[in-house]
Amino acid sequence: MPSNDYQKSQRKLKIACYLAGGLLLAAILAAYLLPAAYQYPDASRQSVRAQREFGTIRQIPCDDPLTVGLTVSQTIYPATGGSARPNAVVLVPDDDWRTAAAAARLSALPVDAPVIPIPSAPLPELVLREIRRLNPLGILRDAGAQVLLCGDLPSGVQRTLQDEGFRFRWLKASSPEELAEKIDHYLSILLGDHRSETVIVPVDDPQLAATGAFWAARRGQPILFSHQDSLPEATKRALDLRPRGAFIYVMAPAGAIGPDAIRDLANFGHVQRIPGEDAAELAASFAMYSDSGDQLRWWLDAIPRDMGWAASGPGLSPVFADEESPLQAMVSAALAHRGNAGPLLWLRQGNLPEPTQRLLRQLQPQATSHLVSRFNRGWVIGGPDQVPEQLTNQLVRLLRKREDENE
Amino acid sequence: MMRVKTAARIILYGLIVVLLATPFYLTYDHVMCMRRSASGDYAEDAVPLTAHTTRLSGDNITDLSLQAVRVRYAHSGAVPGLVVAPAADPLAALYALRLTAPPVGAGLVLLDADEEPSKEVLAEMKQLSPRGIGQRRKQIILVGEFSQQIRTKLARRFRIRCVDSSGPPLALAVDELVSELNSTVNDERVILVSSEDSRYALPLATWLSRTADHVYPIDSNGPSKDVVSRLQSLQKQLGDKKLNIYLASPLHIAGTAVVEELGKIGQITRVAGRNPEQHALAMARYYDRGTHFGWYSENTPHKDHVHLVGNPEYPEHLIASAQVFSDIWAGPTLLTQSEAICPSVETYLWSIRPSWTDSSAGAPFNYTWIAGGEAIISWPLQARIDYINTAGPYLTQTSRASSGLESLLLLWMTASWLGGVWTWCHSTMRRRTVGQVKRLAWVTAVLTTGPLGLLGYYLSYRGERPLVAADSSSRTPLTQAVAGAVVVVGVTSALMIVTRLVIKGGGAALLMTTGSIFWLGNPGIWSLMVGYAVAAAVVIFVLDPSMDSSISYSKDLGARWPVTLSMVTSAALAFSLAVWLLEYLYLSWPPVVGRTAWWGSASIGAAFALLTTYPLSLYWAAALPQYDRF
Repeated sequence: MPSNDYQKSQRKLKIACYLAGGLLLAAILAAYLLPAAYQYPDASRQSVRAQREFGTIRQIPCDDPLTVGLTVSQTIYPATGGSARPNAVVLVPDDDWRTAAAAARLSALPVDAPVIPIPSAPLPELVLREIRRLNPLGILRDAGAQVLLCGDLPSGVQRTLQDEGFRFRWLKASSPEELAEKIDHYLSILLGDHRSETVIVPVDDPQLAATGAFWAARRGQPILFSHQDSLPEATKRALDLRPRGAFIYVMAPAGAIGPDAIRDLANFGHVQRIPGEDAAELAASFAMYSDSGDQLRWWLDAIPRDMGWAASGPGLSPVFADEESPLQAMVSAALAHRGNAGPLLWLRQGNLPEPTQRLLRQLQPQATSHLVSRFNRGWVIGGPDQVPEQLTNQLVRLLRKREDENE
Repeated sequence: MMRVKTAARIILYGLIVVLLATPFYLTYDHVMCMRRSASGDYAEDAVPLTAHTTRLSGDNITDLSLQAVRVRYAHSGAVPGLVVAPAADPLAALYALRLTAPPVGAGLVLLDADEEPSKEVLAEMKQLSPRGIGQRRKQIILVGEFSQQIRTKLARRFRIRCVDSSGPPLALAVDELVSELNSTVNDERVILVSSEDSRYALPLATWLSRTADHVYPIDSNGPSKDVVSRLQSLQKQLGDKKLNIYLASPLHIAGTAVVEELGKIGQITRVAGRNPEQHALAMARYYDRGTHFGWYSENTPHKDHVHLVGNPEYPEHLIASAQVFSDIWAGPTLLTQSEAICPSVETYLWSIRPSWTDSSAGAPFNYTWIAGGEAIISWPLQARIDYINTAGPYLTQTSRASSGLESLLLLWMTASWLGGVWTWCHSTMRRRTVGQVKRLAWVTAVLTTGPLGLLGYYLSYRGERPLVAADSSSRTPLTQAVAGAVVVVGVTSALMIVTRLVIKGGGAALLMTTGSIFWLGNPGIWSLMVGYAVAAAVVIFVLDPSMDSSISYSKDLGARWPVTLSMVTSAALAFSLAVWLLEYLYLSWPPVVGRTAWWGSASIGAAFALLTTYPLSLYWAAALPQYDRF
């Protein structure tokens, strides 16, 4: 016969367990029921950037890099809540495409940020308003930094950000090669490891660099610079930090990065050159390029290697930009991260270069059942002065189903 | 000795409070996160276009419909013709939508049936320069009832043709015209829509603009005589084949009697939902392999899912926008309220969220067209749809807002919490002779290691009588090893978790360390190392020394520290390794400190540490006679 004390303690135990269970259940239920019952509040806003919609093409009709950067930022980050806000905003000088190319990879995770080019004058009010609108969440592993300043920016920017109460980090170096190294270093610390896949772009060719930057914005792979005949010391140092070697993808024809530089690169890992004799051809071939496999890592952290847009059929979301405006193309690279856009394809003086045209014809969707349909949908960067309406219409037709061509 | 005891109690109480508060904090955080995402803490100048959505809107419905026509034909400028329907008559507009399907491909313009179109609207229509449809090259086809003034005004500028209900019912009149112009219409299938509640007809908008299928009205009394005779004539044309009649009306509009009546004519299939939103989802999910009717959305994961989202209270906006789906795009219509996305629609969208495994390059992309201005579908709702449409990696893919991994972790953490509470109650009420520090240590261990810790507690005290002094019990080395491993791992993990929380609270900065030790600059990594140091110090100097006053503290410390340090190191290494693997390699982005995924990685880390620490504990239990402390 159990004692009274024993029975009492058993009863208390049961009551305590029931109470605890009930409390926890109530908490879990509240977590799931409360948000569902919540109504979105009314919101009144105004559109600041007019975009043109053509069905299969959306045009960002802006002629200067700053406006393109702001429009892209506003397009990919609605900023209505946590998931629609970036972790940070990247500010780069609007007269330095090399900094923009190196910083493009900051758009990808884990930083997750739009890139906005700013003039050397004080920080424009438009940019400040955009940062306020975005109200970045802060980079988790960097004391919640909300703004990353890259390259040579006026010191007034720092003061303005301080006055506004934004947390920021300034990544600056004496040369673009060193800045690319510094950004790589920063992200390696953030990720706890160096990325094996490395994109090498020529330091003197903005179009080729933009093609690489677009991919870097999608997957966060490092962009490092090379001279035509030699490898800068900063690039060597960055590559040397990959203890098990790197997969090096050279985004340039032999005329831009020569055999001597390739030989230097081969000391640091496996080198592959993306085919193409000029920017348009290289961009088109990179759109179909794919290299996947194992990383040069220990088995435990051997996440798969992933390089190239691997376009082999419809389902393409290219971004078209004019060859004369590479900086605009670079700052729109954030579309590749949040907007699921890419690859970058070039337009030349209001015309569609042959390689781009060939690629689009090859990947044009055909009339199929709605059960398997894949669509092409692209972006055009630049106003009617850069991309004439006739060219836009041609792009719309090339992205539509093949049967529509006879309309 | 008393001071050490007090310190041990304070530390353990602190750990328990933090661990017990976790689910409540997570709940609060989850709710606040959802509220923040809904509360629109955004400035006034965001654009209404997002990366995965486009909104079709205008000053009024005519403006919107003209905008939709422009989107369709902007590239060619060659509009085959225009079909004009009254904005106030959704069914007439829906019938007219059949003429937008290829090969006719007319543009749909909705006008006010009583008010003459403005000069601007006429100019806009003229600018579209419709080429003319059919043999008589009619530029405009008026579908529905329009005033004579409107007809006259349009006839002055365009070659027009009128289709109204002056003869046969409008649906049949349009049917005749479609048959005349479009030879590709599938005569094997017919759709019946509710004429009493047009909201239930709306989900067919994108389907009709693509296929021009036969569509006829039905009310609670069934179809009209004209419709019945039309159905019979279609069945007659088919001969032995059965006419497939899809009843797109819920039971409360077309009951079983209607179905029985129609069953005499053809094969009846009801595709319907309880309310307009569910009704639209039913159409999105449905597919008939025989006739290829329906979108079959949820079962086609490797395609691009495109949707038109509208508000059932504004049918005209939805129908005018649906024409975009006539040739460029293909996908179902979804319905939702203006301010909040319906839970069922959100669940559906999550279920078809595009994903990728190794490379994001080939991932499908989902796209949504929003029908109407922000009063019809709000901006936060559009942003929410945009977010769900964004492609994500398969591993962290979800069918709702939290991933499968997170759901599993929530269950694990619930079990840990309940286990901790139960251990507290059990050790307090049933095992009163257990020392307080030992009791608190067990509670901490169960809270951290979850069901595994609970199992350890059960194994450690199995077979003991409740009121016998537990401290004096003698266990086998196997049981001693279990108790030692669970408590050391539990307390070490708890201390590391809390240390990381404190460091995060202080704003952990990234240090630009150079060279081969670059990784030390990562706050996630250095906080783990600081956590290890704290755990080693606390366990060695405070928790592990015997609380028995007859034993010298320093002597005991001197004898025990190698054992304790090795155990804590083993636990901390395994914990750190598991956390590093999860947070840095396998999760697509770092989990926010304090959120579910972060706690989950810590729980998995603690469980992993148990596996590695137990063999060491077993070794010490076998080697040392005085090993048993917990």
